[in-house]
Amino acid sequence: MSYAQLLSQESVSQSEFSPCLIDPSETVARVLFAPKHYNLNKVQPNAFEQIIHEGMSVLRTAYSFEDNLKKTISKIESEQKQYVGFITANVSEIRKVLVPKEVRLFIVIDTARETVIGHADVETTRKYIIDLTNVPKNMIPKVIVGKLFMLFDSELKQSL
Amino acid sequence: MIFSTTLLGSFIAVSTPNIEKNESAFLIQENKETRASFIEKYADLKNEIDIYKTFEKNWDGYNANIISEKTIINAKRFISTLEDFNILKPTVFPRTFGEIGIYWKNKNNYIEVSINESEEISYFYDLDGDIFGEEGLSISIIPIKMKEAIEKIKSNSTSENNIFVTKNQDNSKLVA
Repeated sequence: MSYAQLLSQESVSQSEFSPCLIDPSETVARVLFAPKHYNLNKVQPNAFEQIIHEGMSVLRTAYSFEDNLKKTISKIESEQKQYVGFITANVSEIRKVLVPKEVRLFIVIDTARETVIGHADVETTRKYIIDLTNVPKNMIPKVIVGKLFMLFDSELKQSL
Repeated sequence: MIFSTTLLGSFIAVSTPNIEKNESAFLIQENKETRASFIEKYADLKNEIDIYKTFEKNWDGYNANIISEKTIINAKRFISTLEDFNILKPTVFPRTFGEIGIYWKNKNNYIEVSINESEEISYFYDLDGDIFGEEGLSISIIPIKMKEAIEKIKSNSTSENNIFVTKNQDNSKLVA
């Protein structure tokens, strides 16, 4: 998939269950559990590690958020993990990160599920980053995680 | 207590603490008090790192590695180096692949150091999109670029807990 094709996913619905495309003005929430994401009363950079391997799951706060959150919590707890809260970020802020100056680092796409219509993914355009020469290659995943750590609010929320 | 320092290339070298002979009693006393407060502030970081010893394999539910004793010792060594140079207090966290991370962060700036079982550290910073990283560095030194990046975060920080400056520190000795 080319860089242009990757970006174009934001302009085409990725799921038949999606309420609509994700607008830059939207807010997304990252649901956290302990101890991986939240430990010793702090949000951990580990909360964003999923992006290294696949799309990082978030919930759109504008679409059935309370219901979608409940379902996500149920899933987390069924896996014997402890839900702790969620943190939020603005879609426009995520989409405007450029590394280097001309290449976007993240896309945010609607990946609605039948029962969680507000599900979305933040994905990285990492393989198109060819000009990050000031960082050893094996450190790039940490840089990407660090970017998301900065973009998301560090205040843990229980409700909107 | 005053620390003598020497410059080593682009790095800050660590040397044994040494009270300078001609230091006035007043200055020594003042610095002792400040130093005591500083050590107290860093002690909680080392206590937190000790908690990582209790983490079992798969502590995160995603097959995370344990944090080895050697990694814990190395992280404490690096924290001590930060302490010796009165560096802005960081935050520590356990990495899921067995490393210990140390970071400084504010809205647009982030610095992260990774420590593992080796005697070397790696770090990167992202200062308003200016990204730079290095690896294979001795655990006993603070790279000058990292220190400068921390200074930038410190100058933008509003957290009282995170700011600590020794009154008698002579920064000219630390910068190449």
